[in-house]
Amino acid sequence: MSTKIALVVRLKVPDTTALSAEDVLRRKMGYGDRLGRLRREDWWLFEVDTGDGARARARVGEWARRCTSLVNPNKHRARVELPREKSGSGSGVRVLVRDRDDVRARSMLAFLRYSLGASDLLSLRSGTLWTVEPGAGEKDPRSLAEGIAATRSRRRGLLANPHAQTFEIYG
Amino acid sequence: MSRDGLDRRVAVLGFPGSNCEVETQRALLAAGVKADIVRWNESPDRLSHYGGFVLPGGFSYQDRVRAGALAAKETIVEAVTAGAEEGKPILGICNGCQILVEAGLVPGIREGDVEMALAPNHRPGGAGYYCRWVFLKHVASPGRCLLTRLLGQSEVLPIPIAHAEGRFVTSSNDLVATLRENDQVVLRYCDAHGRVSSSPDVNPNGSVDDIAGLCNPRGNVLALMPHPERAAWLRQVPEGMETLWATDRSGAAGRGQDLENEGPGRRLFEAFGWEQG
Repeated sequence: MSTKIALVVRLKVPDTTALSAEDVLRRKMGYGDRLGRLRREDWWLFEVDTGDGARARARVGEWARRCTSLVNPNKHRARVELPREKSGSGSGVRVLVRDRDDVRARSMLAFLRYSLGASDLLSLRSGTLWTVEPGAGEKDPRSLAEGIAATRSRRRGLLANPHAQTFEIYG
Repeated sequence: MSRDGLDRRVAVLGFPGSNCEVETQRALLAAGVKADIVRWNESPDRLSHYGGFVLPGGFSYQDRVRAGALAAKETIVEAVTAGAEEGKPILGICNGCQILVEAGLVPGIREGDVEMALAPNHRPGGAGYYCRWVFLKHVASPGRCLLTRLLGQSEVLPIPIAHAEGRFVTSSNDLVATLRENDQVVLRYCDAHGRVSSSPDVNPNGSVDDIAGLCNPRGNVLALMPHPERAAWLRQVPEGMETLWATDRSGAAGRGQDLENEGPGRRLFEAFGWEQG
């Protein structure tokens, strides 16, 4: 029996990646009025070898505290939650972008097992969780988010290159 | 159209975070090609008068979102796209290669569509940033690609790589076959003897079909992950490599003038040279 728990990590300093992406979408790709704001978070999905949800959350919280590569308290805020749990912070459509070949998660999994003795960590996945807040008057926020996510050409899409990444509307 | 003779000069584009524009300009000058560094926020109209373009290596926009993804949206890339359509020679090196792919200029089979990605390096037991010399085999037909027209067929070149996201990938099942049919795969990773292989010792990043460099269907745009500007002089070749270039390098040791001779990457820049009319 295992339990899956998400760790969502946000910068508490200005996120220059999100700001740059938002700027390009507005000024170069014609989303000036349709896009309200773009936010970005790191997303990790832990599979813990226990059927006890509270214990699984506690283990993920412990790894997050002990590993500054996951959460650096000097610059990050983190929350431990069930997968696809709606966070209370802000509105908008969330888009989860993941590398098809999740090299980052494999490296982190090996590190956590080796350095923190996380033998009860069965699997780990990683991604980037974008929140697309629509502009005032935007009628179809989901289509807006999907259009921004899927890179089809120089003029269409930015957040995920479908040849190396997947994306999904999250939560 | 010529304006101030720009049609016989190459523009080396500098984006925020590019870091190879000066050495790339020097490699062009050493190859007898006049070149200017043009910043990303200069007039696209002025840029359009240049006879060719190089998108150099580096970390444009700090690789935010994805390597090359933000630079590909810049207005100045429209001038590059127009130049590609006019048949001008265009070379993207490393980050420049990533920009060309993210802009849909390479492979360019379905015009304007992004058909590939440069994914994070992948090899058994490791990932991350790789920086070392590799061998490339020129596998395209003679004259197929404007930028490799001075290379011999099946010629093997030692060239350094330096990247974290250099693995050509596609989600299309038939794209690689199409690229081969179209003769668009120009340079593949190989060993010192020219044997192409997907072994991690040979193909350093796990690139599909061992692709190191791809051209567009017309052959005037080359997206290349390795760095020919770091192999433009003989002195840059490591002496220990299994190649005649290294033998020449060893022979030139202590003779400053000989060390300034041509290196294996220089002919890619010489290919920009225009016939004097």
